[in-house]
Amino acid sequence: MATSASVAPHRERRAATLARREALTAYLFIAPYLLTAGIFTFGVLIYVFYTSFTNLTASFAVAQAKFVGFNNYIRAFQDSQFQIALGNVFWYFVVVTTIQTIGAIGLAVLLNAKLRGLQIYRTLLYAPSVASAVVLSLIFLWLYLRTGFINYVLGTNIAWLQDPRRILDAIYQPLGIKNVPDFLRGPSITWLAIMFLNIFSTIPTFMVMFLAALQDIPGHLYEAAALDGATGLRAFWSITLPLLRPVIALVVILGTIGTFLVFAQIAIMTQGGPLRTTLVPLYLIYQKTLGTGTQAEAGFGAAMAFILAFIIITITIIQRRYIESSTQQS
Amino acid sequence: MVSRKRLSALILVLALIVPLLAACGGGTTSTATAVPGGTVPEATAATGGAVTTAPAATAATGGEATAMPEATAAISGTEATAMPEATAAISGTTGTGGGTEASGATAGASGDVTKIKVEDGATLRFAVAGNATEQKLYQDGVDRFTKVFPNVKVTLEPIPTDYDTAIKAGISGNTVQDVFLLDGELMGALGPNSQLLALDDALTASGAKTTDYYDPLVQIYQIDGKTYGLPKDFNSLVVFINNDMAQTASIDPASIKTWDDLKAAAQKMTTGEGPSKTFGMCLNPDIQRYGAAILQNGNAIIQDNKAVFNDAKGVAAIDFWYGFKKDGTGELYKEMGKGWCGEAFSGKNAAMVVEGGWIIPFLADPANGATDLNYTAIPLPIPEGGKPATWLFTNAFAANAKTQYPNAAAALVLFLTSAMNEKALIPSGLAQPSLKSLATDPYFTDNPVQKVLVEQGATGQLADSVLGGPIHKGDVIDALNKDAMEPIFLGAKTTQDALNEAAQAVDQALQK
Repeated sequence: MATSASVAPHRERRAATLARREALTAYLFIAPYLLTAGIFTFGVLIYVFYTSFTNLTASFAVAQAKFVGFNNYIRAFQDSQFQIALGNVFWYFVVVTTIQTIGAIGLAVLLNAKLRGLQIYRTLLYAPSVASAVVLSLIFLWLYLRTGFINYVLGTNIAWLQDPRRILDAIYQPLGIKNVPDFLRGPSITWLAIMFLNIFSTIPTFMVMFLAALQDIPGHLYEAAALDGATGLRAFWSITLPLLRPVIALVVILGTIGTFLVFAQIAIMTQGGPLRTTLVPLYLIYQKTLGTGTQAEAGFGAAMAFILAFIIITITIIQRRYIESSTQQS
Repeated sequence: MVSRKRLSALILVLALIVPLLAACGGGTTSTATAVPGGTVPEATAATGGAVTTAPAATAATGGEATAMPEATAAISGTEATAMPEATAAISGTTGTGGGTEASGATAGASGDVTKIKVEDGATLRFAVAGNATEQKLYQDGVDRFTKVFPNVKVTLEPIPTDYDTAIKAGISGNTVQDVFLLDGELMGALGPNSQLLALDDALTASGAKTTDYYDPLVQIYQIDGKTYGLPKDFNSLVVFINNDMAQTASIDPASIKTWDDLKAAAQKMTTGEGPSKTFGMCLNPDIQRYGAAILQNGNAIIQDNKAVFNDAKGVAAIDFWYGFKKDGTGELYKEMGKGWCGEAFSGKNAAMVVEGGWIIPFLADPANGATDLNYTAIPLPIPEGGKPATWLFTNAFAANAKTQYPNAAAALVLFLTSAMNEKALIPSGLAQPSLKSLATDPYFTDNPVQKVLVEQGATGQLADSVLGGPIHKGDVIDALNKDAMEPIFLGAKTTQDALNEAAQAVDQALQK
């Protein structure tokens, strides 16, 4: 498509019109998407950004909303509930992203082996990812009951979705350490239960990504390594993992975004309880914006949403930098 | 290289599918939130406490209103003689068998809605929440209305889920219905922002008075002396007792008058161990249950815009209810694996529950397997030297301030909350009439449970008003439940500490 100076003038003009026509066609093709995205994604985004500087409540025309400057943002940082929600989601992000990435790699490696009935295993393992978060939540709601299946199998008697005990207390209490801030006391048992549900349902999706990447690793690398005496774990560390790095980056970033935006499980299973140990930013924003059970404050909700977005973007950038730079080193 | 292409293609497809799946999940969330534990919609009504009516499967709602011309005549004629006719006509068609006794009623609000000059040829859109049973009742009400006002056309627009959100969206998009159901939360959102039609002119024109309704029920819909909504009915909290369990424990439910009686009864009715244990009391750590105990103990909840529920008597009241949990004579419904206390009651896991009238249709529904359960209702027991108090819940009808036909819309609101319409709804048993005069309806002599419920209208207080009023109640209830009730009943904090913390949060919320 590119025209160079050495081409004859009339050909250049023809090429230019051709290029223009092609561009026009291309724009025509993406026009429906651009239009809807422009209105319903970017347009709304700009409106929400504006909203975050007003005291708009969910139910009224903009005319009544007053401009309040950065008040909503200042209030968000001071709001104890938002702080709790950010703390909770941080633990969620750390635990879920780590375990689901490691688990997905492990499963993918297993499924990459030459096993009998491999297709069946792959299908079975992928199944949880196909179910919607709502369906899974409702199923786990029953499994997690005190009289439910999980207690039956484990022989425990824990009300999984009503247990606010924080796990790190198991370390602090024997040592006699008291008055630890809630955040440092780790996630609650209920929060862990929901983390497990989320890990269970997202591992397969990422497993498929890793599986595809694994199948892309040329076999001769392993053969060459084997000649040098590197097999098994050594080959995994030295060949598989470095070559998986781009996919790991993708999975970690998708996982990060996914964990920060957890909502459905909370809305269905715990509504933020017990003792706010499963309160997450998105659920708080939803509650505040639409005023379900609280005062409707769309402006405040919008401000929290933008803070959340900023946090996600920052973490994502750091992750990308880190994973990319370590790729270059190796 | 081919394989790399394959990889990219795969990732691309996944990248497309993942958000799609996520979107699907997100999309269905809003409707599914209402069913924690896969329970019936009543669970929401019970925990939220905002819904005054609950679905009934067995309620004899018929009401073809074939005899309506008589009723019409009744309204335009003098009430004293005419109302009984209307009643007879209505109860005759509902098939509840109460027709003959009903004719003796002298019920009636002081108004005559026909005096309102409605716009000729007005068409009204009327939004209501609720399930099929409730919608049928609304439609019957509309039919009665159009018999009285044949020149007004009313279309019922049911919004079975996410009602408040739909109305708020309608308000901001200027597409909201002319007349709609209004709860306390919507009142807080719409009332102070001049989105509701003041009904005072229509009230004056018809001669109806707001004092015909129980004071707390109508006060919440008034701002600066203007009335923006009229309560359509109410529900109240009482104690429901399983008769068989009471008999086994040789307890006469009627003898339970004080907190000590209640505690003793719960003790006696707690039997068994482990998963099959039957608890004397089902507990729900909600201020919209046990907040009434604070009032009974002579302690206000909020006074002069400041939280005072953490005073000694308030702490004692909450401690009393936490006592059931501490003694093992009561258990939280969630701990029993139930969606709400009604399920614990129907499943015979608890001998007593503190609920409102919404439990009646739930128990009558064969799907819940408790149609053979015999139960009694008693008013909430009070402390020694305390005063009777309970929570009331109500919904109202209101009109859109921007409606094209303000007179017709107001007439519909007034008609639906008139004695004639409310009386016709009494046999449905879903909720109690908001008009004081209807408390003496003969229906209540035959239905002792409903009688107890309706009697609470005299002493009950509206949770919406006491807990900070329509604007603040959301945050106040949220703070009280999450900072106090939950930690207390989970044993995470002492009652005093938790209430102190909640008081701080409530004070903050009230400042906003």
